[in-house]
Amino acid sequence: MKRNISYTIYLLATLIAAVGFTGCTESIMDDINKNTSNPPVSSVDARFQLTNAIMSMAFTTYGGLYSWTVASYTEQIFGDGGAQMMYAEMRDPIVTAAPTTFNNEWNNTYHNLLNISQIIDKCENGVNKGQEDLLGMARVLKVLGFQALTELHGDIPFSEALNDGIKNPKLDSQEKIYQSLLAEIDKAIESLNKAISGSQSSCGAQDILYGGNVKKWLGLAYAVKARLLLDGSVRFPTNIQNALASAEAAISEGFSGAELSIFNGVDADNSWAAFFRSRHYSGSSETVVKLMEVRNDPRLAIYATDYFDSGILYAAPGSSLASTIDNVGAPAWVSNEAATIHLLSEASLRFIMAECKARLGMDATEDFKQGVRSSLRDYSNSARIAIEDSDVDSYVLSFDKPDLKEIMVQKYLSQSRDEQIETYNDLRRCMANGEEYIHLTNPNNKDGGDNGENRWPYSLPYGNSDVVSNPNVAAAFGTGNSAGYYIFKQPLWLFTK
Amino acid sequence: MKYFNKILAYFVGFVKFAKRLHYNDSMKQKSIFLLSSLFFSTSFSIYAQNPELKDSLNKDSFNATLDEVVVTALGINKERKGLGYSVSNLDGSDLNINGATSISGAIQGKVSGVDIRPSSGSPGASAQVVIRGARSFSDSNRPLYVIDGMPVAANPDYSTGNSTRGANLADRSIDFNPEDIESISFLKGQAASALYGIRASNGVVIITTKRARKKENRPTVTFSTNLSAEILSRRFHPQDLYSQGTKLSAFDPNAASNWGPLISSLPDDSKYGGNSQGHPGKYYNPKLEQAGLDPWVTPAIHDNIGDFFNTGFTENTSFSITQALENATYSFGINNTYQSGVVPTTDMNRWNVRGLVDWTLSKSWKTGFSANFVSSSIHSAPTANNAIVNTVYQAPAEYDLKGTPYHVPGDPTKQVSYRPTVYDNPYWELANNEYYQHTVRGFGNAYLEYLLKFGAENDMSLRIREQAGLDVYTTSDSDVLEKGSAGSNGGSISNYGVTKNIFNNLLTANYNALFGEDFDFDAMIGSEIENRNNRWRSYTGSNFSFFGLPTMGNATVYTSHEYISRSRTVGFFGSLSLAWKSMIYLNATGRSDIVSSMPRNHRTFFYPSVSLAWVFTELPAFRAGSVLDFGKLRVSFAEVGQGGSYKENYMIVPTYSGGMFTYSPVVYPINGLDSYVPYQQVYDPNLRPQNTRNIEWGLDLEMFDHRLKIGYTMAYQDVKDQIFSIPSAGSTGYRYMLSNAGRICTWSNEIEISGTILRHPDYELNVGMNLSTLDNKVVSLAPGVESIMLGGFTSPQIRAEEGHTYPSIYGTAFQRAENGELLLSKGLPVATAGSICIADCAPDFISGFNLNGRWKRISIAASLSWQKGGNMYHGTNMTLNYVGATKESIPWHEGTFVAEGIDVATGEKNTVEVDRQKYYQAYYAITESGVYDMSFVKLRDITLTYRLPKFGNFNFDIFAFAHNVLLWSKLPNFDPESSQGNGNMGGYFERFSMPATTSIGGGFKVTF
Repeated sequence: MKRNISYTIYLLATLIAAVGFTGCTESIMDDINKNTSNPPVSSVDARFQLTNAIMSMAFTTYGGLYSWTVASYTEQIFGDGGAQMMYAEMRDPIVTAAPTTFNNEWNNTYHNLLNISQIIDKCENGVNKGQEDLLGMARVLKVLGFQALTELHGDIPFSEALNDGIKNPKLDSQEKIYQSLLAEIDKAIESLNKAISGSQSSCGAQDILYGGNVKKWLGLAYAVKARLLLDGSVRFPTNIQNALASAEAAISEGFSGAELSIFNGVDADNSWAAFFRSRHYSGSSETVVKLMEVRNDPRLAIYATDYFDSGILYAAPGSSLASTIDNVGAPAWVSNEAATIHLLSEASLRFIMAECKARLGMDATEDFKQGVRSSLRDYSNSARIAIEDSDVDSYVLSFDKPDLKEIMVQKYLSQSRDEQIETYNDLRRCMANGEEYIHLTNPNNKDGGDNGENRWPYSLPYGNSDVVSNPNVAAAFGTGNSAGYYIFKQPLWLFTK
Repeated sequence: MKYFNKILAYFVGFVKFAKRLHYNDSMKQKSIFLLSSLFFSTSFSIYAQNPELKDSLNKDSFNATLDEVVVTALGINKERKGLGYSVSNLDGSDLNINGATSISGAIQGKVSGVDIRPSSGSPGASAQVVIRGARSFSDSNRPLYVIDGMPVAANPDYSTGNSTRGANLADRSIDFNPEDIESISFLKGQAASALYGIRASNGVVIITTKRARKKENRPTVTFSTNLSAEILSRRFHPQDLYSQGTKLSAFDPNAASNWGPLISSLPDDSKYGGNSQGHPGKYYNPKLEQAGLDPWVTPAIHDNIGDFFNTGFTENTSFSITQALENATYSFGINNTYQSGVVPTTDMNRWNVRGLVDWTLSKSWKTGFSANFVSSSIHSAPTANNAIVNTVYQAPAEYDLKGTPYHVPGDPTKQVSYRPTVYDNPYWELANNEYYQHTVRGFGNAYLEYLLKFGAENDMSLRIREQAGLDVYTTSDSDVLEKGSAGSNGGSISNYGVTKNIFNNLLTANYNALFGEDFDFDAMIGSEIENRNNRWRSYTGSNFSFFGLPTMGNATVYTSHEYISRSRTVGFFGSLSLAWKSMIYLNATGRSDIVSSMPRNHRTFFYPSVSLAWVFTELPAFRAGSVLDFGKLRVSFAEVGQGGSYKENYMIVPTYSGGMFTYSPVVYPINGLDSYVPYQQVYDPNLRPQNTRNIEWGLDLEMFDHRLKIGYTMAYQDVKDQIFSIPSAGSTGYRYMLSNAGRICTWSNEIEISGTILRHPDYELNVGMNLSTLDNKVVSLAPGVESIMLGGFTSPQIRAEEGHTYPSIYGTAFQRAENGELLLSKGLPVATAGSICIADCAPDFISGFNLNGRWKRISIAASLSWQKGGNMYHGTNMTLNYVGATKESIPWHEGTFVAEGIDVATGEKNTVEVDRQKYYQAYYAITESGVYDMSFVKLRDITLTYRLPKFGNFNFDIFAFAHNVLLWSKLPNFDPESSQGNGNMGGYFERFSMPATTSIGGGFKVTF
């Protein structure tokens, strides 16, 4: 009997083990754990990554919260609604110096740069090996992304960024990043030229910016280079000459603006419009209105509308109207979900050329006028409000031999549409030169009167994810009561002499 | 060891002292007084002074508790006496069943070491249940639920994420009917739960459902019903002096605040006042004009909050038939629970049907099954950023929110509200939007058991049991935003859900033997297979063609997602138990799990446990005349692993939402084009199992003829190598890396005391209390990571913060001078630019007090919860202060003052005079102002029952009860038990959350 029992137990143990083990070999378990709904990174054609690389660059980095907020600093938009944008308008460090403010844009821009770096990898060594057109496009986008980050935040993780093996990327100096970006844009130009000479065109409709037109990308690459050079002209005065040359190269490649026009108000909404639809935080600013009024500018009716039927078309920067909502009127395009988003407008490039020429003592009239015309067209299209051709002509004709100030004012008005980040660069660049073409009126730019501490941010605070998870960035951000206040004290390297 | 000896020495000393007291009559009163003064009022003295009362007690009933059998891991019944770890268990009669719609509601305040944080009092509201503190930073900390031997899903299928908008989502424990519970055991420590393996590191809740016990020759039929009414447990009363506006000098019907002029002075307003515009005594409100009404109105005060909330209603009806026959028992039941909430349109409707049969086929063979079917549907309402109560609480008193039409005449998509249309008018929302959750579910199991007795005197036995079970359900949820919604202008419908199919097979063999008189030996081996197949789906349609048909068919933009996940866990386990002379009990277990969700070659885990119980009252010294009837020291050690969800790095179709957007502005595919981006989380291929170590010791004492029972447990838990989504610096390109890191250490103390003060055939009185303290410390996170976000806004958030207890409130704080005084800039408080850890959430202790009394046919049961300390972020109070809507704000609407504080520029005492309003707003703009102490005392339950004289075979009980009566709380205006989130942030973060409720009701129960 006893023996029977022990047999039974042995038998049972064997049975239990057998039943179990057959269902859990490593290969069965691998199969069970296989992700059947999402593709592994290595297998996806990078063309499919390009689409969102462009979308994210336009929608999130150049058209997102960065621009909505610096638009208040540049006084191109009045921040209202009693919440975050009001605090920005009040120059309250609770928003302007907080690492949480731009955390999403910081993260999303780096995430997009990771996507772009994967495209570059795949073109160099992966499934897209040899596709120079895609490689060139990715490199242009890489420059655009890092340029925005360093010009907004200063010293940032660069050489050690985007590497899952490095958890705490170090900060690189803006100088080093700036030089690397110039080198990168040259590489982009090289790749695009190779693609053109090899008649490569692999992206088709997945390239939502230019529909796979490589020549257009080459034009953009030169335009980006021109803008990058001019942004660095405080540090490197000879850049002005080079910027002009690059801009002219862009024009000769047929550059007519980098304008994402995929927005349709159905499955893709313009970022400013989506923001306005969600929050009603963007109002028209008196600074822009005054500049337009003295010029009898046909864009004024588009810029300042009585959107809420309140009779208040615009507000003075820093006004207490910032605490109200659905009150101050807004530019007409912020309610057009199908408006385009610029990475770099034709008008901006024309004004870059005009500025360069003016600074070099050359005649800038033609570029200036083309810039103004282009901007008027853009205002009109974005708002779906016609400006009569005759009005355009008479407005353009009202300027005879523009001086540098008028060029900068017109560039400012042109970029009030959706290129406020570049205006923010221009303002800081001109400040470094000791030039004031746009007079900023927000009383909160100084804390407690004219002699108070500066509250106009020279840069934007780092993203919170790095402040809390990367000791290198945490150290740069600071601790205690003055954490983050460096943005009021130290202009960026690029914008100091 | 030194400490152990010391503790032992103290303990022996205490016992000797107690013993001496017992034999010293003159001291007797004192000793009793000593004990009674602790918590028993004077009842013991009565008992002591009335020896005849003592004699009248039925001693047998007490001795029975000594041999009490409790359900432990894998359904193994064990003598409580011999357990080397703490197990709390409750009978159905101990629970707050009446009027409760969920298990968590029924057990609140009843058990030590189990923290239950309900999200609100609304129908189907989730509750966070955590046993002995968190073990995981970001994953579920909820226990495993086992019903009739079968693990069942109880976690929420969908997380509410950051919980900053949308409706609360139920957890799946809502499918279980508290009325069905016969008993419920809580395996709190890992030694208790080790046999369940990987799923059990968060503790186990074992539920045994009702079944027939006593053999009867006819079935017992029970019918019970109870009805109750719910009201807000605390109602907010706004200030009703000042009107809408941003400053005292001007009424502003567009303002986002109530800092305007006195309502009585509105006719004098320079812009809107009628006194100067030919409408004396009236004022102009353009919103009324929009609504098609006469815009000139006389100022009046409206009770917008009273107008909005309903009286809720709950109905709970059960019918069951049970019987124990010679060879079989059966139990069938049907239950319906219907609840309508205090917020109109919210409700829950649940049907439970169950059947249970145990059949003894022969001396050796036994079989049976348990089957449960559930259908539950919940209508809820949105919270936080798009909360329905937001615009109710903030409504200025002069605006008649209910009486004013909520849309422009002739255009139902154009809302009219006192606040701009970025917020929905609550009445428009009630009429048009819907948040619906529906689940159909079946779960149950069948088993076959073989018992063989052998040995010389049949003193050995072998029991083999095979059990297979299924838990299958489909949830179909729907969020409908009609065209014209603030959150989605074109309207949207989102239908989403999951179908889960969980198969579980358990095969065990138990060997038991008695060796001589002194040894009892028990061995068990077994295997368990759990296989899960989940199919997630979500279909969204937006931009409806026209108003009035918010359906998929009427949408013009569509997106859909499906995701299939599978997992398998195979476990092998064994346990050995040895008992000696009913005095020493030794138990050891081991389990090895193989899980599919870990990377190759990292899939196998092993965890051991060992426990020892020493019933020292079996020593001869305690045998006779001791005041101590039973005493046990127990100690246990266990290790439990936990796996992660590893995947090969993959790509996803990107989405655009969140941040400043209230909807998804970009939806792929666009114009037929799709795109892929790397998933924001990267997976560590060297993932290894998370390890929880637990050491627990405790003491159980019973004295005064078992009238007083004291249980004390101290546990230490050390979780290392946590698997969690480690937040990455954004500059890495990833947001998270799933890897091992961090450590969380927890000390917990649990005391449970119960006393029988009176026992007599005509009356009885039992009291009990439990108290838990928890020190749940985040020792480390990951290199360079100071804190991780669990949910919330940009500021504030709920985070796990290194060096703090779990979790903490994180956000902007007041800048302070070194002496703690506020730093002021231009006379106003200033915030830190960066967010910091402002407060820890964990309370000092939570405790519960229970009372059960009976006098003849009347019985009373009551329980009280007391939480001391702990912090929560209360966004509603903070926001309502900021916008000048609270009564507290009244003194701040007018005048100026010089605030106490240090001027930030000069470092001197502040001398700048500021508007009181400006100061108040600057103060309540800073997150720290929204942190409140959570201390509260709540009457969880009081039930009065009257048993009518027996009529034939009929037992008829009628009862009345009240639940969740907030007696006192430090938090002003609102009940602290209302918050955001159905996960780890639950309980600590509030912003326009659904309100908590008090219910009052009654019912009856017939048994025949």
